[in-house]
Amino acid sequence: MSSYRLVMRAFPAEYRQEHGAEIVDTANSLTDNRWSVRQSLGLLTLGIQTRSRSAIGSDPRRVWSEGLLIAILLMSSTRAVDLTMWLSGHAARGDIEMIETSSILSWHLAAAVVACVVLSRTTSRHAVALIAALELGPHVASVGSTTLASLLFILAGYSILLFFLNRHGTGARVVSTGVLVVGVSLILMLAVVIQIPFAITGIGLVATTSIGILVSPWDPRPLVASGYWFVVSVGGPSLATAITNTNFAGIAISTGLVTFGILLLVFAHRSLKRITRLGRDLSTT
Amino acid sequence: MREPTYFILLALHAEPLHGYGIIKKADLLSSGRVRLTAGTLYGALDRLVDDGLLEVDREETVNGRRRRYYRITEYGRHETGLEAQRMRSVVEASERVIGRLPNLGSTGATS
Repeated sequence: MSSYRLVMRAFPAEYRQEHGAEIVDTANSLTDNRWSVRQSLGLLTLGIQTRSRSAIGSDPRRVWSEGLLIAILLMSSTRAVDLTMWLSGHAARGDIEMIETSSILSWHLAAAVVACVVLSRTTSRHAVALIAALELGPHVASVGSTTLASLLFILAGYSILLFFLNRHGTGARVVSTGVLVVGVSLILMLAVVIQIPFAITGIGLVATTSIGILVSPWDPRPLVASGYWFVVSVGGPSLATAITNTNFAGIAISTGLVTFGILLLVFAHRSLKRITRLGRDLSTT
Repeated sequence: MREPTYFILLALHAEPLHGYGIIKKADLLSSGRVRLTAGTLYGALDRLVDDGLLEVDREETVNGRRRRYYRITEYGRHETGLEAQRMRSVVEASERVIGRLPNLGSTGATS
């Protein structure tokens, strides 16, 4: 498992125990036991797909709970990036006291501690509700109903997607993609509302969510759950702020904008290919 | 049917193979065009087994490592045949429009 040990974390524990050694053995054979970026990306993609597909079963309550967790994860990571950068920017210009920045970060830290303690013991609906209250309450109060709308769109889109993955439906693929895109677009629009560069929000969203999924809360070990929520709520936003803080002095963020543009294009291209293939499948059946 | 999926099915036509064997055979059959990663392969295998085109033939343990061999089902052979017919009709239609196609595959392999 040596060279691909970390990336195998993307797989659900049961699947990893059942197939992990064989998959890693195959990857190692293909690369003469050397680590390969291409193989790692392939395994990472399969791991996330498998996690989404297998963790749910066919229980509608599980589907909606998982959808809500993903929605909260996306919302909190994006809003944490936005809030941290907004506060850092104003603090750097002297518009706002550092004590206020600290209080917001302290809130995230407190939420992280409570969330990881709860998540390490249960993933019940009570845990979801508690995390939602801790992470989203202040955001909804400060920004307004758009936040709630984004949450609902992502919840609906992801849940439909999970139904599709479990039951091999076809039409749900188009519907869920569309609904998810609306939800994520609403989140990104919030960044414009509070004057955060669009690209930074997008990069923060992708980065923190990816890292968050890799060490996801569905792993019951307290250490893993703690790591997950720390990265999503505090670590990711702080890192993003540290890296991009100079942008607040008015320097254009060309690199970030280009990166985000490429990500959007790749996403759009893949979505279009899927929709085209689906249309062809439907027309032949 | 996507090209990697087609070559996975084609690789298993003659005999059951394990993961590494399938990747090598698909690489060979496609003249190096389809180079599967382990992630792509096992994702496709899971899907093809779920859809009934493949099934697990047997499991072997070699040097303490478990290997799963896959074989193609009758339904899988049928679907591969349909896909081959579809591709042949595409080639025939193309040739009617633009004339006899050059053998780009063998040219590329020797250059």
